[in-house]
Amino acid sequence: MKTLQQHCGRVQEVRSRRELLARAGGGLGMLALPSLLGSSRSSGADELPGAINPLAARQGHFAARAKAVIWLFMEGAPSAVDMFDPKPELTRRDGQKIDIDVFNGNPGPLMKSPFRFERYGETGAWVCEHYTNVAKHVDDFAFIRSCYSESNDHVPALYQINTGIPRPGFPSTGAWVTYGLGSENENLPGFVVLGNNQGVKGGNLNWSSGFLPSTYQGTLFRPEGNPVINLSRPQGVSREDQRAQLDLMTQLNRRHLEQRPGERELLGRIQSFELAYRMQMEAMDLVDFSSETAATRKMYGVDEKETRSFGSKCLMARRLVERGVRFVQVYSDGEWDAHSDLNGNHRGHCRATDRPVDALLTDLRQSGLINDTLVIWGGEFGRMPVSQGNGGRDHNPNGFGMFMTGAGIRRGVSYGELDELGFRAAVDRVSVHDLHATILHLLGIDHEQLTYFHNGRRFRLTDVAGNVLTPILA
Amino acid sequence: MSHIMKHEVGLLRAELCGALLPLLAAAATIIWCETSDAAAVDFRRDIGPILQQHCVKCHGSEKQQGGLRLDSRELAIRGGDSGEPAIVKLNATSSQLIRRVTATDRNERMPPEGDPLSAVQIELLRRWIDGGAVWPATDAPVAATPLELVVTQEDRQHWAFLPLQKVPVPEVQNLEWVRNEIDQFVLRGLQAAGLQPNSPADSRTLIRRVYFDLIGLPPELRQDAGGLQEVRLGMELDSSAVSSGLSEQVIAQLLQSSHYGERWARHWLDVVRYADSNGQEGDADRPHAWRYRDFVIRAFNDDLPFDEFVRWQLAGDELAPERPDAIAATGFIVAGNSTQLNVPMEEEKLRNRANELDDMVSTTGQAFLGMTLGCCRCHDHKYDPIPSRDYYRMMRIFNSGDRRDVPLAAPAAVREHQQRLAAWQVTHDEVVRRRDDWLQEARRPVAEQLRLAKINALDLDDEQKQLLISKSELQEAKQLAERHRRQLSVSAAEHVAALPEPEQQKWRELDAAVSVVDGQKPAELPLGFAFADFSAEAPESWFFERGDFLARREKMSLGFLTVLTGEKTAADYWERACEQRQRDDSTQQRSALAAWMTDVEHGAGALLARVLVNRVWQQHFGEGLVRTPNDFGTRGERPSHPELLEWLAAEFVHSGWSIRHLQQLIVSSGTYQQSSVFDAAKAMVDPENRLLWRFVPRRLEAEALRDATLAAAGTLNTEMYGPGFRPPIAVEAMQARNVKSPYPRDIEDRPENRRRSVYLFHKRVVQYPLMQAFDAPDAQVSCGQRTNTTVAPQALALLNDPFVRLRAQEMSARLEAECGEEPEARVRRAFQLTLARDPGADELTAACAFVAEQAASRRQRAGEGSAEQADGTAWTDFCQALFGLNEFIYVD
Repeated sequence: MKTLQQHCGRVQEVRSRRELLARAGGGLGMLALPSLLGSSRSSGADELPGAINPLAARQGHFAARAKAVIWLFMEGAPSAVDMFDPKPELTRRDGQKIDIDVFNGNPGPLMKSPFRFERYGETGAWVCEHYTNVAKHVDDFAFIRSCYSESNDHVPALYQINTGIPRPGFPSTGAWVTYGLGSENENLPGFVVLGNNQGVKGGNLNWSSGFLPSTYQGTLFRPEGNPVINLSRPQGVSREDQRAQLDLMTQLNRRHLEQRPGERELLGRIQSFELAYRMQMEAMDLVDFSSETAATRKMYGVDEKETRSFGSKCLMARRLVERGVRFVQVYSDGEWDAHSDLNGNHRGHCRATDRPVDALLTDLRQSGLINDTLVIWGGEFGRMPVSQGNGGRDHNPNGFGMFMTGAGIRRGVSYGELDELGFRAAVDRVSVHDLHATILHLLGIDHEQLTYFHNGRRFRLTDVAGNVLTPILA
Repeated sequence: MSHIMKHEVGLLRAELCGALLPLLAAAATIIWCETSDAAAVDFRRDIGPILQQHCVKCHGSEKQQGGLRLDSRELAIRGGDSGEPAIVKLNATSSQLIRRVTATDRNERMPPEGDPLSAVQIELLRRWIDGGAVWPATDAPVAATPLELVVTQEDRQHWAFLPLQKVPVPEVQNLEWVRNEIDQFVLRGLQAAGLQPNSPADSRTLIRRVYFDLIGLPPELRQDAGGLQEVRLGMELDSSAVSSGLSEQVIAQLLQSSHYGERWARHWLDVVRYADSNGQEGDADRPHAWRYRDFVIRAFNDDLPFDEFVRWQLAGDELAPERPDAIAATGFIVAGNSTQLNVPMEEEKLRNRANELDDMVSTTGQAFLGMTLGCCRCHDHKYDPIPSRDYYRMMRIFNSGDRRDVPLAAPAAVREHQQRLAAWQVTHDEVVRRRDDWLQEARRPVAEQLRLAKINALDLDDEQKQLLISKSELQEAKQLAERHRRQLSVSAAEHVAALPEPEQQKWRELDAAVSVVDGQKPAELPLGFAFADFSAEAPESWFFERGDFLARREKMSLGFLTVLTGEKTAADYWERACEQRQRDDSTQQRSALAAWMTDVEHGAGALLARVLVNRVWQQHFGEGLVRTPNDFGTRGERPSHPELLEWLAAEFVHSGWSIRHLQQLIVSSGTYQQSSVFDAAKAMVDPENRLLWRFVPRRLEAEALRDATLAAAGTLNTEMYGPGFRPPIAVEAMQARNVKSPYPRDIEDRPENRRRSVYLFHKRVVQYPLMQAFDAPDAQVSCGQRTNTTVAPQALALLNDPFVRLRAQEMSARLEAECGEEPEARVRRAFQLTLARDPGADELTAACAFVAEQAASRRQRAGEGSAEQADGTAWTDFCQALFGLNEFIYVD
């Protein structure tokens, strides 16, 4: 049994190949060629006997239903009763006062949804009047109607839905997944985050690798311009200039290395420069949408004001999973955080996301990528059935809904229920750990087996809980 | 329900001990397992519940019928009044316990009431005893309800918890290599494995190594007629200084340099999760946090005894209230994440407070004692002898206060300042009143006219204007006026302007009097971001059932870690602290904690010394003697050289807790000064270099790398102390919404942000990408050891980050200024500045060729300016390439 060093100084027995790979990211003892870019099957790591690439693609614990995940993150928390889960009792009791404690105090009376609802598809699922394009796909969805979490505040709630723990500093789901499975692409990160135009509340701790090696942290991509920081060369430095610099460095580095046989990390660093050099081109190619047809651009709404931002990100998400990126999170722009005027707020967000989500699902289906891709739609918590201020709703972690569709998901099902007012998950309650267990399961990972030793114990994404939601699996 | 750090690891146990025991063995069993036959019976699963349910109610901590206790192994073996052991190890038949539970006589049989134990239960007890009566230390004892961990004598025997031992220095051969006692310990270990250490490194390597290690900057060597000089610290390096290892004088001069504190403070700041903003959603800046950072730098530069350093960080405001730096030192307690929750929801506020207190307790445990207390928030520690009760007794200490911006001045000075401020306020109010009262009278003749003018200027119809003018007492008019309040208000200046000149003159006199008083306002006292108790009275503090802040189990009294508390109790420490009270607004609990923490004889002092010695060692060698610097518990790694660690800890304490003395010893040793040459044969024997047969090369940390590029460029701003500087950060890296004090987007590269990295303003939610890329910690929790990754974003940073490119430009200009036109001279100088050596002949050729070709290619290209410019840029390309060299990034 080998002992290896780990983040913040813990040593322990390393058993699994997965942990071994992960830990290879640190310490001079084992060479790693970790990189943002993965290593390459074709070059790089293979040149090096015994080199280990922590991002190399690997098998899960059992056969995976999905290879990739696209998580459409509706930041700010959409309201269940106003989107997919209308509650007649709420409409009936509109205006009644109830005894309730809410985050910002001063709860108003019960407030019915300002939206009309219709039933769609063969399953007859209810969808609000502003999500008619997404509604076309309801027969493919598994609605999870009974989610709950802990904190009433956005940032802890964001941290929880991303990492399982409502505090900063823990590894995000995407980090756990890339730690478990690596990446299918040698030149792109395994976990990509398409943030929103003002930044996500709580910042990059939402896609942090926590105590996992930093190799697994989410890489924030901008949909336009330079997707990643430091990707463009300094002003006045051409590609040939940089190539010449690299050649000089390699020449001097080789000489240095020859005097230090056995220092494998030095070779790893030489190679990391080559990878970085290659990545600049690959990533720029990724953000160049010119290869997309006019029809595709139109479908995603890339050229229209209201859908441009989210549509571009949805299109980018498809391009990423197409290239083998494992885990993509797409954050909505602005916030569904309707403390007042829920009508206006949610209508705006529906306009910005309805067509792009439709386009993404249609596109994934047409290309067949849907068979390997799990798509998740949802926010960090839900909203209160009572009103706040002028027609708004306050935060509500007691009950909210999400949907999943795509690889491994049973089509046209609904799981769990909120109570009759839409306040609290009442039937078949689904914790955040359950959601995470299910996502890992679909990717071929047993959530109880994917562990990392840190601070004296083995940690899991699902802490000490989590049940796979088998009823929603195909 | 809080669910942080729950350790219900049932499903994980199998993984942890699969190799040693069959499924379902408790993890802790590994440590105490005596015979493998016991495997089938697991104390926690099988035996504990029997004892708990049927025995300890009468034979436990509450009652001891017949003088017998069955709640710990020790006591059970000792037996009761009969003198017979209840448990005879490996012999169930002779054990009183078995005899009594199987007795047929109703008067003999236990338990006396209810049904006898089942055959299955009795069989389990038998097999357990026959298997050695394995009783995991951390599970003991068994309490009636709930099961609560009690710390035993056995627990206190863990190596890290023992008092400091006196260790003899071993006798060894090879006295030539041995430079001090450290080497004798190391050499003995090597020789036992049949290894010899490497020979000493060459002088250039040693100089570069010790410069980076002690001051975090490269040496700047110059050879001139007077010999070899080091320019940065102005040191003559005559042959004796380095020919036979580093001379005392070189080491001393480095340790005396003010750069030393800047270097070593940074290591401590990792451990205490220091940052300059709150983190979380608002991520508000902490404009006064830097006072703590400066305290740490000064402490290193003054060689403040480490025990004092620790005491001040816990209770400087109580222990040395006259000293601003001691008050600022409590910035340690508050350095973690926090959030300002201004919401009415009580539950959310309690959750937040519980998290913040957890951060304080956990970091205190990790930073000073290398103990993971966070686990005990929800339950007794699974591996270490720390009951949850200890956690909540310590939490009480921090529950008596909170983070605050406090004046950095003695209480008397603060009081005096407040009095002066109050007196000034009276004077100020008086002159203002005199001026305003006068105007109130003087404006009467013009007031109406001004009011009318304002009304007429409004965008209203005549009827509404008339309403305002003549019927202002009507409700409707009042509402209208309220809506246009801002437009209707007439300022003092407008009134004054409408007055006749003599009146205006009078106003100016009165107003000038106000200005004079304004100028006399007493200067604000400097503030520090620190911890302060609410009052002298400690508020109630609770034991939260399973970490749930809504489930208050019982009130807690003051206490520390039981396993490190001897005859002197927490109450004793507290009583003494109260006797020495220097301020009347604090509970003195933290003083008690500080006294216990640094008490080598009766408290945690021995462990404190070991943990610190190990941290210092780790920074010099890459790894500690204990490779788990933040965990000295039973699950942490045992030291590679236990006696050396013990000897160093004792030496450290006897030297008056002098870190400088400790480092002087380490850096002077042959162990430290040996070469880094890799030897495959030695590596076969000791692949991880645990025996220290060589010095392991290390990558520069993020800060040292950044500082080294500035040093090479010649543009390092060596200004010390004060508020942190904010480096320019690409907008792409600022992805956080709703930040209270947003990171400025328009910062330019200026001298003030070319200061050393220790002064870098660390904004938690907007981390500086260059630091992040090179594994600087995120300051969420204590970091005892950084990860060391080799990833492409680091290469991208060195190739494309504007910071790196700018330093290359500056260095290129420096070469031109210092070396003239001669390319070879420039290359030589460039190698000295970055690698502290001259280039070899082949390197010189390659470098000159590169610059020539690069300049030619740039000249050829359209759009490039003059030939001169192309030359300059080619040299910039060259300098930047040097920053990417392994030899620059690594220290041998």
